[in-house]
Amino acid sequence: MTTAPDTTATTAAADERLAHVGPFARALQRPDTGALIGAIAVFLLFAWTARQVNWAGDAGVWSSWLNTSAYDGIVAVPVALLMIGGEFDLSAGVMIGSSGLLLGILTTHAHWNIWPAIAVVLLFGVAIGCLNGFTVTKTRLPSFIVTLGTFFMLRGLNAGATIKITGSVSINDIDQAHGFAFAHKLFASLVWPQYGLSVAVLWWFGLTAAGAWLLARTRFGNWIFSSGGEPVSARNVGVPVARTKIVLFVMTSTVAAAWGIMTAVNLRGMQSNEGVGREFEFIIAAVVGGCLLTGGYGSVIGTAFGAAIIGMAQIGIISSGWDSNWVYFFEGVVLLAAVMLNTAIRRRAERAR
Amino acid sequence: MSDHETVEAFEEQRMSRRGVLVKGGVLAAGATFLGSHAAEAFGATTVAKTKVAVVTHGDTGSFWSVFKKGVDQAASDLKARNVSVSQVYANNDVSKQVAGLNQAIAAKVNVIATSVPDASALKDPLTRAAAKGIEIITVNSGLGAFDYLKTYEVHVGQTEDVAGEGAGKVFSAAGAKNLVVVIHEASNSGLTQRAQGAKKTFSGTTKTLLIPNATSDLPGTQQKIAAYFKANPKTDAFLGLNPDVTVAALTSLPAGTKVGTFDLNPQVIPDIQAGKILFAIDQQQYLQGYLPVVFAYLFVTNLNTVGNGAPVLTGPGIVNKANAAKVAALAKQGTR
Repeated sequence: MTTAPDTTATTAAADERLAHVGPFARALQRPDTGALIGAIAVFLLFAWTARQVNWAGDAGVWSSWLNTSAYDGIVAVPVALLMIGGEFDLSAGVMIGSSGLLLGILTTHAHWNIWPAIAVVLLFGVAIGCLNGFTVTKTRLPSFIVTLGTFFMLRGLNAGATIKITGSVSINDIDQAHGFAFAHKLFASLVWPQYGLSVAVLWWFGLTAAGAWLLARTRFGNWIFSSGGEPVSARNVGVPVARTKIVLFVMTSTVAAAWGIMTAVNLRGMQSNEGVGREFEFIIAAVVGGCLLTGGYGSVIGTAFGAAIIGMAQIGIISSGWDSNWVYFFEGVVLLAAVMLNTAIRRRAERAR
Repeated sequence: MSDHETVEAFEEQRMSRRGVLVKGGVLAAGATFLGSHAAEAFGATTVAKTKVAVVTHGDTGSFWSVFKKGVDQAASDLKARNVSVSQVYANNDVSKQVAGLNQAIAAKVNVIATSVPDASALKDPLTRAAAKGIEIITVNSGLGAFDYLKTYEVHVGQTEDVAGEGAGKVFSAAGAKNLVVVIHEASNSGLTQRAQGAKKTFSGTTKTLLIPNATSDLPGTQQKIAAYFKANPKTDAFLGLNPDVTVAALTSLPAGTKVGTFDLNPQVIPDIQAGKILFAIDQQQYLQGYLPVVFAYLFVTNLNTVGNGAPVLTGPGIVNKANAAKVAALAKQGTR
């Protein structure tokens, strides 16, 4: 991508671009390799420090951190794509609470069947995504500011509208809704009950595979890279940059809404604080996974490893019995070390080029 | 300070209408007071007019709606005694609260009952009120913040450490040996005080587990609590300091774990009745609204003062299986 224009090399034999690169070196150049190695390193760290709970061999422990990773990893997939496309969405976290509360109001207050309610909540996600996308592309304001505005609006809506309609800031008894049992099976059941593995992990794997395919194998994937990397050049060669970005915003809000639905079904209720601040965990997963904050570069698979690193860090600190008052500190050290390792590996690989 | 209080107020908002207060007890006390011969004697003489201003940082959420019901009830109970009550709920807006206090001073009230979310912001108006001889009662928050004012009477509220001590006692009585207290916000010193209170009275060992921002990631919180119990298999008692966290944690706890929580939400009472939660600690904010009006009346008409420098504690009220059904009925009325 960053190869300098080569004016001197006229003979094929002297062309460095055709130099032989071994499969190992090529693997190291991928944006997700560093995150994979980081994830393995974090796993091994806790395998040792949390050996008293059999961190490496206990399926219950695996379930704990896989579930936690999935809870970040699902929304991190579209957040990573959006970041590669050159934009942020700070409203992705609070959207979880908004959509869960909307689902709760429709099912427990208006007494809807859960499925039409889910459809409306997803449409709400699409609408918020359009709002973010059109505002960013029409006004050319930084998405950081635009979605910060949406963040505050949704946050106010969560408290204000919910109190207005229900008289309280939390909603319970969503499980009384018609159709809840099947929704629970699909979104919040345990696929491996004796170890507590949540179906969310399967959704995470599936969504990651879909996102990776979209990015690597489709024309839209190329548009994402070019919109984020060089928007002006992309526009000049005919890439619909604005449309690409709007679609990415819609994907992010809709997946966040879907995760809000899954959370509400899992908890059988929702309170207005849910999701606030989570947007940064999604962004961190993407960055640890090799996405550049400036856009144009990154990986969905790497983001999944990034989410796994966060999940392992959050559970591993508790499993290791470290003083939980230091939990932020430990999380910071593990994340920083993982990112540094990731970057070091990629730089080495690129130098070897 | 103001940040902490705002967070607290926000939390309180989330508490349910089904608050918990032994209303019967309070009404009984009120009735005794009003029905006594002494009170009749007061009624016979010309009773001085008592003007009370209740000015808080509260909002219209479920916590403060119970508080307001207490003020309303006291105002209506004492209306015949020439007591008039004005109320301002500033909705966490300190400048609005200051304006409410200034208004009260201008209206020449006899007594101001106010919450103190931010002592420095309220210092000016309260100092001015004291200079004008207005009796000052602090409610809900603000213990010790203004006891230097010469007209300061008493604080009516729950202290965090005493509430925690209440929880520790219940766990000891239930025979628990290893308690974990989940702290769901990193920078809320009130939560730490609750945990320290529980540790003080609990006969076994107490550990704390900090899960920052637990209420914004309840599914993740469930996993972290499960991981804690796996790493600390001897743990047999769990204390949540927020009802949403406690209810979410129930699925992560090993069978037989003794569970206690602070505060109520609509799910807590059914879970207590079903035996999933052993008890809930409630600060009985109805009392925080009711009592200051009564104290104000007694001060103006009879120069009675309460507490002698110590606070009047409205909590911890404990909701357990024995009283959950009654509390649920009272919660429907909006007084618990």
